[in-house]
Amino acid sequence: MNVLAIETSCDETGAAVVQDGTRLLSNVVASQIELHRRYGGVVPEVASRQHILTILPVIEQALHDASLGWSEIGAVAVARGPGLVGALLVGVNAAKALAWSRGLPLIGVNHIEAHIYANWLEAGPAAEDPKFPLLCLIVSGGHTEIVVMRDHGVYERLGGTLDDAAGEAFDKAARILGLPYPGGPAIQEAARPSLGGGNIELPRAELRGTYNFSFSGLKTALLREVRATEHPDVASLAHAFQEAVVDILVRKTSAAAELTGAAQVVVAGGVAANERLRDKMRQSLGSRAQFPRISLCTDNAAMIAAAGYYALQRGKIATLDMDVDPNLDIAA
Amino acid sequence: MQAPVDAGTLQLTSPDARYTERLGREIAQFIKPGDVLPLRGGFGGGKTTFAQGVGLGLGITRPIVSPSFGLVNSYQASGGSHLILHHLDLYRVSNSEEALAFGVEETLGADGVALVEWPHAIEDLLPVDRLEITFEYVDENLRELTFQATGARSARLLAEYSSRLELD
Repeated sequence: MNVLAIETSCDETGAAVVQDGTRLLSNVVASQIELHRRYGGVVPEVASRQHILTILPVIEQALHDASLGWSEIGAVAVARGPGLVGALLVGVNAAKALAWSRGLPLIGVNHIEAHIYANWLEAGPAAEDPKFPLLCLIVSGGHTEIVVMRDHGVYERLGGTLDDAAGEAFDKAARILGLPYPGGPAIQEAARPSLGGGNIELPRAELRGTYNFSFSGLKTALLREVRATEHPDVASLAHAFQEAVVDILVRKTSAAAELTGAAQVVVAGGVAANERLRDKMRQSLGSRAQFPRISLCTDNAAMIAAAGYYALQRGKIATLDMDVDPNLDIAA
Repeated sequence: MQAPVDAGTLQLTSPDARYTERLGREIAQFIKPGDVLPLRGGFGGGKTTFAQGVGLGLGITRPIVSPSFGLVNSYQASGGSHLILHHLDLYRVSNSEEALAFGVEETLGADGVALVEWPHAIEDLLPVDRLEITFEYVDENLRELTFQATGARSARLLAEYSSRLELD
């Protein structure tokens, strides 16, 4: 069964086709295609307007890349939250129109849950599906959550951030250090010369006895270090910041894996692309730690298709009055 | 942009984050539907800590987390008040047109109270009467908070709040 999926929860317009929840047939993200060539001008900054302009070409591209026609699509899946309300509406309305006009089942997908499902998209012919109970760390610009997944669609949230999301903390740290957006890759690059060394130590918010995170104090501590000197050592500070974030993510995730007796641990979301996080997580958890390929860490529609396929297997078909939910919870 | 009228000013020094949170908790007793409180200042000034205090003061049990990703987080206050707390972060928004595109006007006024971080993009949409709060990082612990009322309603809010703080 081929699922066509749409993702517009933030500022990426995505469409993808996935076969049986695991086999990636196409995966298009708007920022990868040359929109200005089609429109002869700059695409407006406003996220929802950009989605309106790009959604149809992106869907057509996804079908074209998969070499499929509408008759070979079995269902339409779409991210219905969490995210920006105006942005979500574009994807959800497009999905409704397509499902209705083609007579296909419509599936509403939780964007955070879908990040986990990026791990089902096989990395190679020998790849195996993740095993339950599966401990999931979702770390992105908008989310930081530790969730245990006991079966498809069965989640228990163990904790999350109390202030900034991990990816947001990277973005803010980059701003403080004068590095470009997005902050994650910028900090990773800036930190490289100091890897394994560094003489600056930044504080971790332990929040003992919980699986919660707080990155606000770390940001303030970084600011203090920057202000303390006229010529801040950006490499050392970027390194110290990355170490502090990675360290607390790895320790809390490892502790949660012990608590839940997790068979496997998956890390998902944009911050899962961070090499230091991957290395440290593997050091702590060994082969139990699994990551999606880098291209599937950031927002994309392929993960929506994978999550949608498994939701459809459980009979989770939405009606055409399905609404977006900008604050959708993973346990909902 | 309309220059704010000075209808009262209050300057406070907060010795630590716990006190900044308390300042937020206390103001929660006096805010009413329709109030708009721009929270100005750069990183590390205590804007989020203050907002978390307001949430606690309103009996909101969900953690008040950063609204950066979705631009606005809305919370229903507990108890008898039907007040909705809107917590905005408009850093990523570049002008009021963009803000209107995501429905910012629904969060300013009406049945909600709006705490607006990085309000630079929507100066022209802010009500004339509002309580401006500026957060300044002084040193590792100290923060300076300046409250400025710009109209009759915000002046009353500020007066009630100041007398409450003086009682301690």
